[in-house]
Amino acid sequence: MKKKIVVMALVVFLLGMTALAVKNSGGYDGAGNMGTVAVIEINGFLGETGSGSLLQSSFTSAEKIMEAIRTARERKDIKAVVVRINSPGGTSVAAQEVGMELDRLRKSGKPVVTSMGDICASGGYWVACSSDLIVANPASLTGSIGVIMEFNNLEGLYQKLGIRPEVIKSGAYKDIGSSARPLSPEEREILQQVVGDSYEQFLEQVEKGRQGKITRAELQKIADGRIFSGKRARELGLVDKLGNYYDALDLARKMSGLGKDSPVETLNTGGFWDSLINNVLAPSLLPRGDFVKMKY
Amino acid sequence: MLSDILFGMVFEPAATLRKIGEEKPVFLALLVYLIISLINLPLSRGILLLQNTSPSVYKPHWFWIFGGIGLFFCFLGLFFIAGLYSLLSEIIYKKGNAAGILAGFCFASFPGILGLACQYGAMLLDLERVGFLCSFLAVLWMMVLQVLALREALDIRSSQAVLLFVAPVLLLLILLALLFWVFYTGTSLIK
Repeated sequence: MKKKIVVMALVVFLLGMTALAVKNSGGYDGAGNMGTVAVIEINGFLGETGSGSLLQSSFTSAEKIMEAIRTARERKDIKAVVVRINSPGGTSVAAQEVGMELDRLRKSGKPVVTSMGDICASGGYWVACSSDLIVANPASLTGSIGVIMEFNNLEGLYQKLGIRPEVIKSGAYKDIGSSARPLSPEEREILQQVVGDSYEQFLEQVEKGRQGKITRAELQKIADGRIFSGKRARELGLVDKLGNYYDALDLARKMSGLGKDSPVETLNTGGFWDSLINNVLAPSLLPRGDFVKMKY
Repeated sequence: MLSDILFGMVFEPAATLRKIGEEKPVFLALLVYLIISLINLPLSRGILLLQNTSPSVYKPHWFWIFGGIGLFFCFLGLFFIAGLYSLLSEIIYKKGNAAGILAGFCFASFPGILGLACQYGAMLLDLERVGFLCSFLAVLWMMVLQVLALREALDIRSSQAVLLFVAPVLLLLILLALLFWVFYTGTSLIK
């Protein structure tokens, strides 16, 4: 009888530990921790790989950001995501692509919290609008809702250098935005329409992301490209809460039901070499004047 | 019967292993070994996850695939080592009992899994060093039990059992030395 009790106790202990291991492993699967908050950093100008340049002080590849978002979506141990944005904006496409990926992440049931750094403006703010909650520092710079398309007219310089570009084109507007001549009124009108259309998309994005927090009419009053402090943005409804990075982490934990000590893992810790490879491998060592780039 | 054996493996190992060596309950032993191996998988995974050292555990399916392959090779290794010990014993001591050794080795792995469970429990309580110690002691205990299994199954002295236990390693070392010697003299001849 005594033997049976001892053996039973050992077996129960063994099975108990196994059950605990199985149960705990269900929530792990990733970084070896139960329920992780992932951090995705967006630092500097947001663009597609190759759209930045070595002369640009800070550049973030949209592809890398999207990859990190996908990882956060696929990994079972990641329960919430904080997007730390310190970006003055980026190309329209890059901002839209990252925003779409964040929307998919939220649809998968994982809360996304944006934490603003020094600046989260324009394209950066577009991305922020694809999160469940936006946290800004009172002094963060945000807003700049608008679209800009710019290029240089180097006609005068070419003349001084004795360069006379010859253009053979299939249509009247094929060399629209050429640096060799000024814009014609028709071309200006076409480009203005493109910018207007993109601006409308930006307004829709903010409207969708800030539903119930700011009306279309209120938005249109302030969406003229101006920037705001985090504090003012909070009053206007562009931001949900004032706080720092750790407040954003705590909010993410709370929203996903994680404990206070749940670990944090940064998914895209790219450094100088990443940036170098991104730009050197792509043919854009110098700032390009090849075609106009539309930016948020 | 099973509870007697499991109790005996912990508290009366020599007598229990003698009985196993005589009765050779191979089927029961293999069943216990299979259960132990199956329990070993989630426990090992739990420990690896807590240690956060193995990237392969990031992908659960890979862990189970490797675990399944590992299980297969564990059984293969068990049969191989039991056969090898029996063969070596027949050569050295003129006594063989492969089935008895196999059964003894299967049951000898029981403390090992207890050690692993203790390690996991200790790690959950943030006592990593205690957990490591548990596991280390369990491995030592398993080795002692394996020597006892050899002694009892083959009815030899303890010193003979220890010699037999290390014989495969010694053989391997001799083989490697031989290979090295052949290679060395071969290259000398070429000169």
